This record gives sequence, structure tokens and C-alpha cells, in this order.
Amino acid sequence: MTIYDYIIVGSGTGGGVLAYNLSKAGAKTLLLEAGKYHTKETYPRNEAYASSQLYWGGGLEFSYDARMAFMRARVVGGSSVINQALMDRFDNIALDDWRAETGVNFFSLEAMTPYYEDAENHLVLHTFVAEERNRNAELFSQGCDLLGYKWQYLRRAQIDCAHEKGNDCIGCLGGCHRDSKQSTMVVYVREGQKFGLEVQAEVEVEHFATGETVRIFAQTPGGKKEFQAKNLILAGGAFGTTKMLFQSGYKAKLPALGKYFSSHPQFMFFGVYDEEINAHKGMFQTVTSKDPSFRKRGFKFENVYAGPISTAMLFNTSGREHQQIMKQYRFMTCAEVALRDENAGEIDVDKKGKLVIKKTFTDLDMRRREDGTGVLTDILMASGARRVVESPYYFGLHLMGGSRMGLDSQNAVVGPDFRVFGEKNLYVCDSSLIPNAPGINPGLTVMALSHRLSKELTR
Amino acid sequence: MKSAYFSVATLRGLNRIGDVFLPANDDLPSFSELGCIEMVDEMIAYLPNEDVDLLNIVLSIFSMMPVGFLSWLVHTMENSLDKTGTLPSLLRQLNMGLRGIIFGCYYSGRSGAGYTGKTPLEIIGYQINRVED
Repeated sequence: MTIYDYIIVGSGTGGGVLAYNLSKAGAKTLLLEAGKYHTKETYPRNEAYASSQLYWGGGLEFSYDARMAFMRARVVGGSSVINQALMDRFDNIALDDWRAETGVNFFSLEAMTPYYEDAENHLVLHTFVAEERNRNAELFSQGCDLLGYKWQYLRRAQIDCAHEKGNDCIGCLGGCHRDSKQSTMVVYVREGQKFGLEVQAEVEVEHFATGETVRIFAQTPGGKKEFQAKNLILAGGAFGTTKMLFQSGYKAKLPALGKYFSSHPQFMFFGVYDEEINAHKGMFQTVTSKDPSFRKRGFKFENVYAGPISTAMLFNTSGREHQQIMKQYRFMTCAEVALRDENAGEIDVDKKGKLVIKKTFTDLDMRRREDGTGVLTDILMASGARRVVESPYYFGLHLMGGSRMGLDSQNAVVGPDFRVFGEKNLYVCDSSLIPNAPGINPGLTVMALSHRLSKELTR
Repeated sequence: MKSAYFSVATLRGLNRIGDVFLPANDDLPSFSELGCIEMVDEMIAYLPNEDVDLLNIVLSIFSMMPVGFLSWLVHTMENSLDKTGTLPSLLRQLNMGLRGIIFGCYYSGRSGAGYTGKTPLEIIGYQINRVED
């Protein structure tokens, strides 16, 4: 059996970056991913099949009480394939909170800057301009202006979205068919393969055993399979990494395992207008709220939209009422309240090996939701909406924590060297090590942390 | 129509509950008129096996239930959102699972072999341009 220098489980913003850097440095590296290996030619061209083929659970997973839904990618490239590639550095508020809660010194803007630069230098970044806004974005920013709230253009990792040729970006939520989106698949995994990186897709790691080498046991379409490496890096995200640690027997050793889960819960609001908006056309998601008061109040607004299936799912209606709403699809705008939630959630695994997610909303979370709801409704009405419809469902797309970083094994799962406490050749590098919700898209920061670990491992 | 995952009774049950969620209204076809069950295999191919097994049981039962019961069930599922307890949790899961399959097929832009009208996406005017590389 081949013994690799590194096996990395998970190919998103954590694992993809590490796989590239370690391979480039000459390490014999194997990247394992539960999802399929797609190319721009093979990503599903249809919303229905993109949801079922690129996400865990066939589209959605739920909290144990089915009140909240979670979306996480299951494809080579991970969440970077299906997200909007928004690339924001954290601010002092987020990193100071992380440092205060964990005692980890490199959680500071000064210490993180070189790694943010490493990640940014590897990507093509584009900041939107006025003429790239679609009507959805125009009305959102207009509503903010009328009420005196600050907003800004977003920065996205993309190289050529063919906006001027009439390309509609909403399609790339099911994988970019132009390779414009700078997913880790495009800019790290495929580049890593040129340096000898091995990639095995459709391999779901179930558990592992550490020792002089790490034995990794996985399920594949062809049956069970074992792999072996000198070092194992878990990068399966908050749910995936935490689940693998549970299933490998770490529950008793690490009391913090599964705790401190947060997810930036998103509450969707639709404005209904008399004019045709066509929010699904053109550049998708170009602006966001940037009012300093919102940051202090613990929420922000994302100006988004969704395909017809996702939109249909967001309204808890059926029959004629549902169909009347859907007939207004082209007359609606959409924005969401995204909370900076407290890390009161828990990730666990039941006896059958199934994830059990408890997402608790604290009083502070509920106040922030109410506050944000009021402001966003005002913005949509100010922009000319006839009425505002709130979806009763809410979602978590930024799944964070469960295997958080810290200084001791009572309150954390991994140390500042990214090693799992008590292990010498087992690392975690993904959103599961995030100690609390930053209130900012975590993608770029996970990439920066991966660059940091890459440098330490290749030094 | 044959399915690799669902029995004939299951498909019949899916059509019945699908028509409660999405009946024919004005220019919009019903779930069954559109021939949605012909798309269902592609939708559920990636579901965990245990979910497919559960759907087979539930939808088979639906195939035998009167439409009045199915309407009541849909209404009850929709009203379970803010309720606590095991039963409302199960109803919410069932509601989301059914809606995922039913809306997924209905708004996929495709139709069954026997349907000749406009698809729901054409009727609501949804069309996106994909400029290939």
C-alpha cells in the first residue's frame, strides 16, 4: 500500500489550498473528496440536478428539529464551487474576538495579513462597478441611499464572467461552466495535479486510526477502501471534520468536540414590485450592506436571489397561493438578513453515524434578527416594493466550529499549530476550527489559514 | 413509466400528493399533467438510501389515501413550522423532503413525454443565458 506524506480529506477552501501547496513543495499528497470530480463541461446545467448532485443530503440537511436547513457542498472544490466566491478579509472586530475567546495570538490583522496576501495573490479578484449591477442590486442600493445606510460593491474571485455578452451568473451556483469562478478546483486542485497531487473523488472517509502512520478507512462506489499516510489533514468542514473525529473515537478525549457551532443564519425577504425586476438576470450579487451601525448590531444584508426551485422552497405555501407567488418571480427582489450568531450550536453523531445538529438561537440572536428584519423591510419598502414577504425558513451556509482552535484540550480540539490535541500527525484546517461567528464571509480567511499551515508544514 | 428507485404505487402516490401541492391553475399544469414523475429518478439518485426507502413507504401509503386526507396533511405540515415536539419535527422534515422533490421536478424546465404545453418555467418567464467559455 502506498504511504503518502499527506492525505487531505476535503477539497474546499481548506483542503484545496493545502493540497496545492504541499504538492508543489514536493510532498507525496493524496486529496480525498466525497463528491464527484466535475469540470466546467460536466457541472449540471439545471438547478434541480445541481442541488441534488452537488450537495450533501441531495440538496438540504436539517437541524434535529427540522427548523433550520444547512447547505454544504459535496464536490471536488467543496463550497468554493457552489458559493459566490466573495472574498472579504476579516476586520479587527472579528479577529480580536477570536483572540480574546481562544488566546491564539495570530488571530490579528497584522499576523494574518501575509496569509491573506498569499491567498489573494493566487486569485483573480474583481470588485464590481455601477454598470454591473442588475435591477435587484440597483433597487437595494437605492433603498439604502434613501434611508442613509451605507452599502458597497462586492469583491468576487472571478476572471471572465462574460457579463458584456449577456451571461447570467445565477447559473454558476451549480458550478461555473466558464471556469471564471476562482474555485479551489480551478486555481488550486487542478494546478496541484500538475505537481503530482493525486485526487480521488467519491471517497467518503468514515474513520481513521493514528499511530506511526495514519490508517484511513473509507467508503467508495466500489466498496470499502483503506489508505495510509504519515500525516492526515482533516478539511471536511464543520460537519465533515467533526463527524470524522467523532467516528474515530475522540468524543471522550476532547470535551469541546462538536461544540461552538455557528452558521450566520440567513433570513430571506422578497420585495414585490409593479415593474419587471428580473433579479435572476445579469451579474448576481454585486452589492452588500456596509453600514457601520449594522456591524455593531450584529447583522448584515446580502442582496441575492435564487433559482425558481429554491424560491419555491422558500415560501411555505401550496396550490393556487403558491402558484400566484411564483408567477411574480420576475417582479421580485430579494435580500437576506445574515446574523452574526452566537456559537451556541452543537454538532453530534448518533449511533447510526448520522449527524445531529442542534442550532440554538440565543436571546441576543433573536434581538439581532428582529432588528435586522425591521431595517431590511424599511429598505425594501423605500426602494418601491409594494409589499415585502418574509420566508419562514432560514438557512445556514457558513458552517463553522465544532473542532475549534484554542490553547487547551478542555476548550478546544486543535492547537495553534493546527494539530489535534494529543496527536502528532493529525491536523485540522477548515471552517470547523473557527471559534465564533465572525459576521463576515469566512472563505478567504479559511484560505489564509490554509496558507499559514502550508508554510509551517513545508518550512 | 418505470423508476429505478420507486415502485408503481410510490409513483402513483407522488403524483397524488404532487397534485395537492401543484394543481392545475389557469395556464399552469398540474404536477401529474406535466409528467413530473419521469424526472424523479434523476432527482433522487443522490439521496441517501434510507431517505429513498422512507419515501417509498410514505408515498405508497399516499397512493391509497383519499385526496381530502392528503390536502389535510399538506395543510397540517405547513402549519407545523413553529410548533415544538417530535411530531411537528417529523412533519417539517416530510414537508421539506416532499417539496424538494415536487418543486424540483416541476420547476426543472423539463416535461414528460405526453405533455405538449408550456413548462412552468416558460410560463413564469424564467430563462437564463449561459455563455459558454
